[in-house]
Amino acid sequence: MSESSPGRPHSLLGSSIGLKFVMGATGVVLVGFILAHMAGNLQIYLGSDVFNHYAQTLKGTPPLLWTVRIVVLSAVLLHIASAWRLTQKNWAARPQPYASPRRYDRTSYAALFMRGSGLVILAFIIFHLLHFTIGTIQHEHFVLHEVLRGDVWVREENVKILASVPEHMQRHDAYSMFVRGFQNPIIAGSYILANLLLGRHLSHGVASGFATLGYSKGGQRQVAERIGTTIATLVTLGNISFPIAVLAGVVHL
Amino acid sequence: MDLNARIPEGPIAEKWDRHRFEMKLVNPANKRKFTVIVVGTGLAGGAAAATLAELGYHVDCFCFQDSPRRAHSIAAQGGINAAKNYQNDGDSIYRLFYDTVKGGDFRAREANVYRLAQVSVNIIDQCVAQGVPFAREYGGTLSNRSFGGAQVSRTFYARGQTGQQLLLGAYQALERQIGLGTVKMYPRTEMLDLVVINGHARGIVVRDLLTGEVRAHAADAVVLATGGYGNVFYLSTNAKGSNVTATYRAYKRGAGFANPCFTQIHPTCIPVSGHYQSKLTLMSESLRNDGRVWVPKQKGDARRPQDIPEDERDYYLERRYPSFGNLVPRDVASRAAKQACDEGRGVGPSKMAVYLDFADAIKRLTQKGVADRYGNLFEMYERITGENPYATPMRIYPAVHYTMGGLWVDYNLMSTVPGLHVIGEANFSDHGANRLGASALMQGLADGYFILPYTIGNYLATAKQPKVSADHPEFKRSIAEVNAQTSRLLSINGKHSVDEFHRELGLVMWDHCGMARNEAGLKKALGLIPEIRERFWKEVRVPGVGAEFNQNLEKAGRVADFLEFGELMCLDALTRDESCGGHFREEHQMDDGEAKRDDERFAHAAVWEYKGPGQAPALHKEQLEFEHVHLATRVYT
Amino acid sequence: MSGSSAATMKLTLRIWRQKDGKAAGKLETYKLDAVSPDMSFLEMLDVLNEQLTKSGGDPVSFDHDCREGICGACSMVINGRPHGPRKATTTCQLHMRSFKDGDTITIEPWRAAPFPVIKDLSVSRSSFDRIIAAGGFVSINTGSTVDGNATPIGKTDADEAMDYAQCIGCGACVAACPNAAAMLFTGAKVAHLVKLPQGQVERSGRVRNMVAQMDLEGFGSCTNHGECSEACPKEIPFDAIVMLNREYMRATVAGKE
Repeated sequence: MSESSPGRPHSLLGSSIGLKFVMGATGVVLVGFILAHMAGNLQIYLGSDVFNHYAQTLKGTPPLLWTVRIVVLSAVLLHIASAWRLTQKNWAARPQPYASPRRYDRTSYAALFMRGSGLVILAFIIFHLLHFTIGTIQHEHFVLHEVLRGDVWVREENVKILASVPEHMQRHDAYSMFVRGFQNPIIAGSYILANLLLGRHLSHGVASGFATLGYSKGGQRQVAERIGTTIATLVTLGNISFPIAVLAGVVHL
Repeated sequence: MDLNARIPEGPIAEKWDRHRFEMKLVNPANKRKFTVIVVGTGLAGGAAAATLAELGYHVDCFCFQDSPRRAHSIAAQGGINAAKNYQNDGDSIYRLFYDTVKGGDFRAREANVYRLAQVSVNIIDQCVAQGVPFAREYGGTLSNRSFGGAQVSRTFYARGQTGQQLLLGAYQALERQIGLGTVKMYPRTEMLDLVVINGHARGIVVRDLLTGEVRAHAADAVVLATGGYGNVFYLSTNAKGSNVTATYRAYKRGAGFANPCFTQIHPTCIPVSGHYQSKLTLMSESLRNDGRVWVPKQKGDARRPQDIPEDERDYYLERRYPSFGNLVPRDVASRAAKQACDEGRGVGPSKMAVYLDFADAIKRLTQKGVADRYGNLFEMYERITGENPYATPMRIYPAVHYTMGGLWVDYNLMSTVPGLHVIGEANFSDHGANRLGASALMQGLADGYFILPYTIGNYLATAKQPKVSADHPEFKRSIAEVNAQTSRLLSINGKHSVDEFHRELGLVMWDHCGMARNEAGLKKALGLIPEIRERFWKEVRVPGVGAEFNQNLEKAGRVADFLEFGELMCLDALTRDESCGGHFREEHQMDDGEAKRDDERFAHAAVWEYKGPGQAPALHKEQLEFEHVHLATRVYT
Repeated sequence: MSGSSAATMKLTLRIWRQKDGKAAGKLETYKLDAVSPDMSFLEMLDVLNEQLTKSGGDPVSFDHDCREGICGACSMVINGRPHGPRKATTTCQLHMRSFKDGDTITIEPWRAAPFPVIKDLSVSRSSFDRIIAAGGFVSINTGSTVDGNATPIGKTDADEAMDYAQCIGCGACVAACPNAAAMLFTGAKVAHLVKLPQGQVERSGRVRNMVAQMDLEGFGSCTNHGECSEACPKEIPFDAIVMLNREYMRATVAGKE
């Protein structure tokens, strides 16, 4: 066996760099989703008809909806599994901590608390799904619908009337669910907090992803960091604008 | 003592080729049956261990450092010479040979030096192939510079870290063989004895520095690549761990020690700053290209350098050597600095320094121009001294940095003990009484890559010694002796540290066997050293126990050997009643203060044979013949 | 400002003492008077050790050799920073003028599972040697070479290779990394060789084998903090890690040989 020929046991997922690639690649998928998700939600500012139409379109295209859901969910699971495995390795690599506090010169709090922000984001995702996708939380808002009267969609809260309207003439009133949900200051506050952390997570994660995927050599590193900051800022501002807009009455029923 | 150099017959340019043909070969299938021990992993040892393993031998390799990559070759800055003549400036193998013999002040063996010049060209090819990132021109070819006063540009370099890059090349080749299982590497393992059975070197006894275990390793041949002994002076530019133990203990087992008094002093080092000083740092002598050396004319002048007017300064090198000025050779510059300080005109807090002033260079080239040339050196100086050399002159003083003496070897690099080969700085061969700049790296790699791997085969093919194992009574006896010394060191439990004795020895060596030597001083040193040694063995405290990681014990063993070796050096310096190269006897100088050789009486290598504890060593001589480079006087005025 | 005229300092040293690899260690406190600002950090420890030796104590073990910043032996975390407060400076080249009278200085060994403590401040770094043995070389036997100028190498590439080749193998990158990763060390060697034509033949096998060994040794993973190159006394650029990632991806995902 020639000494540096392939043949030593290795597998992409078994190696630390391989796991980092998984982190990076799934990160790309998730950042894409987060941006698209935010862009879609910005339609809230165009009024209930546009927004509910958007929701109706998504729901009315199950292949698209389910492909996205499966891809994103897998990405989240792989992202978490790799993070868990790498965390174990990292903890094992320094069983005895420094007795005096380490002083860092370059890294950021965002980078040092990726696990913490990641865990909060995970909790938020679960909450978010229970809230807006599955409807376990604030179920009373989740069941809100609109019905088609003539060629206008109008809110309809009467369950008996809804039951009598044919399916194609009613749609989910996502707009009202959205507005009523954020009128609760505790929910609005938790969304704001979670998105601030998401911003921190992305600010390091995006730049880090460029390095992991081998794309930020030399001056590109600053570019990657700027892209990270930009995406983080966009996502944070965009997402926290929703609860603030509702609480401020800019977006209302 | 048999000092037959075994120089092959024939014209000098054909000797090596002819010898390679005449040497016996080891059948490829038999090579793996031979085990070779290599002690030391610097340029010579690392290169030899890797190459021997590539050839098919089994190699056991030892170093006291935690990794073979840390051997002191790593600290060489300037470069490596090779007679490539890439610059088309008239260089040739013959010119490199000539310069080296002449530079060595006619105290080296011509045939060895010629071979060194021959293989120098292969070294560069080898290192390039390993991925050593030598400096390059924009066209992609290798870059060269002129170094150490050479009139041709034959020095290859990798920034200011040539030694490091060459060593990493050898280290990587060695690690490759370790990975393949052909070399068994023993880091943090120190050789403490050579085992000679039936007149042949058959193994070594080592101490595992991690556990303290003393054990034996048997082999078919032993190679020492353990470097120089500059640390006998306590303060030198050598690494703290560099020591004489391996070669000295081989000497005690019958290997002749040649020219121990030949040491080289480097003129541009950062001076001592206090009693706590642990080592000296060398700065590239390229600084003398633009810096001007001076001291005040007035003795004991305590003014700041910038307050001393121009006409009260003595630019003594420019005054004494008008044509070479500040660029006189290392030994000349060093002695002149010592003289100025001895006259009471030294500067700085210790008064043991001279100024190296860049004020004129800054005027001529601007500060940026000076920074472009010497920026990293200025930064290093600032880091160590806390002074800004752009604003105030640098202070420099000479320091020991290389030893040309070493174990005597024949043309095959074999010592007077059959089977014991010695390579690199540890042997005495190629530099005579003075080494040229950028030649140490060349010699280490020449020995390790291109000479020893062939010549050792000849020994193995002809020696026909029976196999021995580490259970042989000679090994047991040697282990017992090593253990006895360890117990003795640990049991003294006196009041003084090992370093105190080492410093005391160093001071005696520096004062009496340093840059300038004389009969009275050497005789005085020969009286003082045994006295220090006696106190060492009564008053030293070595804390800890033997069966553990014990850095104090390591140091104590090394200093114990320096305390004996220092005496041998002084004896050699006293016996060599002439001046040559780095060996300057004040009794023998020209009217202008230059070294005055005595070729009638001393055109030989002085080889010392150990005669037992308390006995005077016996002197043997290898007469040196100069058929090609005719004996001439070096003149620099 | 002539350092020698400055007054001496009194210092309090908190030094990690650990008898051997198995024993538990702890920080011990020592007082040291008359420390000259011109001393190197290691000379300051020499003075302490001399005091300990002469007073019947046990001197502190620490690795050191060349004391001019190139061998890579010295290895101490000083006040929470590998090699101490001065940038691009090894412990042996750090001088006491970087501290002031009355300071308390905490000194610890490198901390990483693949760098087990031997005694006090000495750790084993043989794991680095094994990473090199796994592939950090060009497989060329002595003598089987062409002329040094046969393959031109552009100055820019040669210079960049040299930037990475400067690594002294001290391990400060691992000590500095929040995850104790050895990516900068491994990346520096991979990047050095990949920038040169001589490194091309074994390009893929080298990076795969070196990374496999790095993982096997138990180093952590890189989360791109950049602390490694910040602590590196030779200022090896963080690009070494980006190049390592790129090379590893090329060799595994793209399956190139």
